[in-house]
Amino acid sequence: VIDYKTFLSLASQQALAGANPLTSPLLDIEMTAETLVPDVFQSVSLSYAADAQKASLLSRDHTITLTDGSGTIPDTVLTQCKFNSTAYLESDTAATQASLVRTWLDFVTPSTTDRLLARYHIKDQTIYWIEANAAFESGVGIDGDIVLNIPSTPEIPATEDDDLVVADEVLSDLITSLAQRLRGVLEKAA
Amino acid sequence: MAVSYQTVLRQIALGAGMLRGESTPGLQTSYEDTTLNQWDLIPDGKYPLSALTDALLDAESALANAIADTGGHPWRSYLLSFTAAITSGDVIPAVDGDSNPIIGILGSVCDGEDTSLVCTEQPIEVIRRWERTSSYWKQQFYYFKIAVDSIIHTRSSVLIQCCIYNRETQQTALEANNDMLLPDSLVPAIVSGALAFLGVENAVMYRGMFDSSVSAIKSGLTSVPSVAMNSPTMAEAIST
Repeated sequence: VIDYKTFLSLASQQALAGANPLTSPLLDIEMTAETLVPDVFQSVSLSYAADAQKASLLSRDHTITLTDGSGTIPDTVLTQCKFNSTAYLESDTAATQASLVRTWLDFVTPSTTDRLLARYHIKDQTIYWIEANAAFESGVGIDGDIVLNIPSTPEIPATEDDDLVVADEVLSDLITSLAQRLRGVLEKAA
Repeated sequence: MAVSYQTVLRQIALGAGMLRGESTPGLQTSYEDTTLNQWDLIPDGKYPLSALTDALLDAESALANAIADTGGHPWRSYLLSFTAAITSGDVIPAVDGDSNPIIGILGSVCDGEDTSLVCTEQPIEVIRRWERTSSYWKQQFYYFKIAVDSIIHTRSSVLIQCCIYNRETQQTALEANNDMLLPDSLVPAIVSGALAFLGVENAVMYRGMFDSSVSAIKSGLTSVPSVAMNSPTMAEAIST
């Protein structure tokens, strides 16, 4: 794990490879590097998400606050990877996993067996939650926090000293991708 | 051990033929006086003690200017100071943080809270862009640009390394017989400069030696020509 300023410095240094460090326009490139980070994070994440074997490397926990049984999913979550997600109530010390229900119809009209577990459904940027053995009722549900583990675009740290939380395999790709972008190598749009 | 101002002043007095002494031992007595005073000088000489001290300080300040004008010269460390904290857009001050006059070219621009963090010069456009988007950046940037008389930068404040020379402070140090401000190896240059400024016999020669020293410093050298004491002046002093 490295902090954000180290990440930016490593990518900038990698971009300088082979260039004259005294005259290269890539000197003091950190300001430009930072503006490219959101785009690089997005493109690298999408390339991982497109590969089912690699998507799990992007998984991380998000705490989402539910109000009346639903909550808003953070923008960094790759919702197209929702079938790789898991979720549990934060207050549940045993972290009992809920069941993802793929279709809305099955979510609101579960079979008797399906009701034995808490269940959730993701629609666009909203997550819906129904407790075990509870029936769906529009606009009604629990209030509280759940923990959703799902592939996500890496979070840009709040400050330069904060850690960049990604798997090591992803980190090296992020550094390389940012360095290539700094050198003017345009990547194919994901 | 550093050379005291009085040691330099004695050499100037000797070179100007101003030391009292009817014989070599008498001259030695005057020469060894820890703090040169009016009674160590010949009574009917051309120069009062104040003129000798002024000439010393004139030569010292000229050498200080030469050092301060030479970026990266190792002797700048004898004159180094910092300005007071400067916020972006402020005019660069003419004095340091202790109100001493700044001389020569400016040194590094450092972060106002940590002078080990040296800022990098950037075009004005880069700094203006940073200002317009300052809430966006997670990184800390250490950029500055000096625009005519002002400085703009990306820190909450910066300190500028600078050389200072305060003649009043050095006058006080001289009178207190403190050590000289500049390195010991500049004693010959100060003596020759002071003798040139006084217009002593062979002043042209001393002027040449002094100018050589100034040129050497400005070319980055730290070795200056040594002064040759004028033997006729010594003879003149002895005969007084």
